Amino acid sequence: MKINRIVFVVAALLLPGLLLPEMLWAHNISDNNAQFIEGVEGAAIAPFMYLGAKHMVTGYDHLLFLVGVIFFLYKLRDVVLYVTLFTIGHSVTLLLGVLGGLQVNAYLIDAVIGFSIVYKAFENMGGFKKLLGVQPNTRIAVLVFGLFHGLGLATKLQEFSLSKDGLVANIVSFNIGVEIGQILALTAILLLLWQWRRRPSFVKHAFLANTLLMTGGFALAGYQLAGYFAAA
Amino acid sequence: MNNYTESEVSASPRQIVIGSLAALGVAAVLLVTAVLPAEFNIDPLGTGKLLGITGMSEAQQVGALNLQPNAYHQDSYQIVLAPYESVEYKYRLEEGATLLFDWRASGDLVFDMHSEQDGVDPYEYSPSFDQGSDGGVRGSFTAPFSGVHGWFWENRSSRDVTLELTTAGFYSAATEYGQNYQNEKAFSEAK
Repeated sequence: MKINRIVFVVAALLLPGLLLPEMLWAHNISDNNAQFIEGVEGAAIAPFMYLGAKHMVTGYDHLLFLVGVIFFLYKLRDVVLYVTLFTIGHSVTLLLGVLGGLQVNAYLIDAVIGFSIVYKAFENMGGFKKLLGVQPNTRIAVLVFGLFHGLGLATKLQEFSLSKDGLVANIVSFNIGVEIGQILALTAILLLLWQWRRRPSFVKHAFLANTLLMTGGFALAGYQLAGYFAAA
Repeated sequence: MNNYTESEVSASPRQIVIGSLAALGVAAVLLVTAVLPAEFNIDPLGTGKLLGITGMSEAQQVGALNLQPNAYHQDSYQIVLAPYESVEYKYRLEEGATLLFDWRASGDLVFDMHSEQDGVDPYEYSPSFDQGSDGGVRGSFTAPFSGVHGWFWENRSSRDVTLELTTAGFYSAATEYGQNYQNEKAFSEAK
C-alpha cells in the first residue's frame, strides 16, 4: 500500500514533466507532412484522414480537454452525448473556417483552447458549484469550446497553401480523421478512467488530477499568449 | 466494485481556491523559468541561462561546405514585360547543385518559382518553392533533383515592367520560355 502510494506520487510528479515539453512544443503539423500536403493537388482522402487522426492523437490540448470532459461521466450514454456535442462544435468551425477562409490568430485561438482546459478542470474541482454558486450549462459549454477547438484545427490547416482542387474532399477527410483519432484516444482514456474510478486512490487524487489538468491548461494558454506577444 | 462518484471526491471551497492558485502558480513558474527562455529567448530571471536552455528554438547557424562538380556561371538579363505578358526562365541544375539569384522588377510581378524533374511530366509533378506577387526576391536554391528550375513571371499591371535577373551558380543551360517561343540563352563564359 505504501509502495503503491509512493509510485503514484512519483508518477504524478513525473507525468507533467514528461508531457510538458511535448505539450509546449507548438502543436503544429510537422514540416515534412506540411510539404507533402502543400504538394497535393486534388482529393487525397487517406493522407488527410491520417493527418487529422495524427493531429488529434498527438494533440495534448484536445486530449487534455477531453480528459476533463469525461472525467466524471460514468454512463456511456453521457460520454457519447458530450463527445457528440464537442464533435459537432469543432466540425462546424473546421469546415466553415477553412472553406470560408476565416482568418483568426492561431495563438489566440490556442490560448482559448488552453483556457477551455482550465475551465473544465475548475468545473471538475467543484469550483462553479461550491465557490461561485452558479453552474453554467455543461452541455452548452462543451459545444462552445468545441467551436473554438475547431477554429484551432482550421487555423492549422490554413497555414498551408492548400490546392483549391479537391479542397472540400480533403477537409472532410481531415475532419473524419480527427474523429477517428478522437475515438482512439477516448477509448484509451476511458479504459484508464474506468479502472481508476474503482480504486480508493481515485477518491484521494481526483482533485489533484484536476489541479494538474488545470496547470497544463494554464501552461498552454500562457505559452500561446507569449507566442502572440512575441510575434506581434 | 462500484465507481466512486463525483460527490465522494468533493473538495472544500478552500481547497478549490488553493488548488486553482497552485495550478496558476506552477504554470506561471514553468512559463517564466523554462518556456519563455527556451521558446522565445525571454529570460527575466536568468533561469534560462542557468539551465542552458535560452534560445533553444532560435535558428541554429550551421556552416556547411558544399562542393560542386559543375562549372560556375554568372549571368544577368533584363526583360521588359508588357501588360499581361509572361515569361519563364529555367536553369538546368543537377541534383544538389546550387543557384544564387537576385531578381528585381520596376513594379510587382506575379511569380512562381518551381522545378521540373527529368523524365517526369511537369503536368503531373512540378513542385513550387515560392509563389506570390512581389517587386523582387533574392536567395539561394539547391536543386532537390536533376531537372530545370526557375521562375514564371507575369505582369498583371497596366504598365510595362522591367525585370532584372541576376544569377550565379552551377547550372549548365538557361532557357527562356515566352508565350509563343522557347529560346536557349547564350551563356557568359564559364568562370
